[in-house]
Amino acid sequence: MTRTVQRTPALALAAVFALSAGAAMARDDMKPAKTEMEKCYGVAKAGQNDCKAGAGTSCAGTSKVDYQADAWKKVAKGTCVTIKTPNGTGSLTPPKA
Amino acid sequence: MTPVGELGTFQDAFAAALAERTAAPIAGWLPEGETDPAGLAVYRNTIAKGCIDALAANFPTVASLVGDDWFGAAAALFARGNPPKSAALLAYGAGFPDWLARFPPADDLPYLPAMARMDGMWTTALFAPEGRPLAAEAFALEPQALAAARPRLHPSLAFAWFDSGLPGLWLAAREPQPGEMELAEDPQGVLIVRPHEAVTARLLDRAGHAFLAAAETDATLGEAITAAAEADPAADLPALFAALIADGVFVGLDPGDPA
Repeated sequence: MTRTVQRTPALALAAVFALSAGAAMARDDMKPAKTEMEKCYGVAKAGQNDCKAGAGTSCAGTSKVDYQADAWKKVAKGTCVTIKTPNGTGSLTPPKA
Repeated sequence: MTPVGELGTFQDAFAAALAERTAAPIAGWLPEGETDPAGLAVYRNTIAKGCIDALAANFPTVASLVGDDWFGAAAALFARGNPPKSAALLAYGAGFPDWLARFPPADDLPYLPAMARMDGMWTTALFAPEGRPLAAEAFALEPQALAAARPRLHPSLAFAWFDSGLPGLWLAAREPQPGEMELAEDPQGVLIVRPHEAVTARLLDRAGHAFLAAAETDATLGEAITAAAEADPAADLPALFAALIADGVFVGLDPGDPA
């Protein structure tokens, strides 16, 4: 606790300075960028979850589709080929048992 | 004329016949000799497809990482055990991240639940109430007054801290052409907010996370920036604050007592 008490005045001063400096920095940064940024709003990237009428709005004919297939028993195979993890590469291809 | 009570009874029985995968609950309404009408499968599959499509829309990063087949099969299992509680599926799948964490076939993909969690944060931000971010000029106050002010955070703001590089992996996986990705060992945070029409997401460092965590609990700006400095003494505090202003994280500033 002593540590906190001792550090507080210096930190508080630094904090006040940092906030004012940051606010000034934001004023400088935001002015030129603003117009251009606003143009981009509303443009959705395909394939991500912002380009939809809303989840669950699909009503495609489905009577022949078998959703009970046990495809999760297979190796997951997505758009990415490899992910390097701290334990090595290729988590999407689990080691053969 | 069908009494409402009878219609309601039939609807409940019909829903049970779909959920329990047997025609037994509606046996009393079936024509003689009919025990398992094939048409029930159409209803079941349509419901399943609605749920799976909703989950794929709400968890696109998970779907892209595991592929459509795996995702569809896992989502179908989830949907069977966790049917939607609301007719609107916009937010369907709140329990999906935790479910994935307990789903044995996902054991080889330890990062998957976190991907789902961040997808969920993204979707929540998308449908969060509107908020008008403060312009940078709103922070042009006397230094002491600025430090004493309490910020109001954007209603769509979500942030989280992870003990590895999961946010970086999530952001990389959402690129149009992700290619090779890396899960870094260093802890990282993520910031998701919808300041205007589009959701934005970026990495958050330890100091930035400490700032927002403090601000969320009604701290003053001075207390929040102090928390950031304590979390990472080497942090560039002015840049941190400027970036959060530019992100549109703040929607209001309540004057505090500068004493």
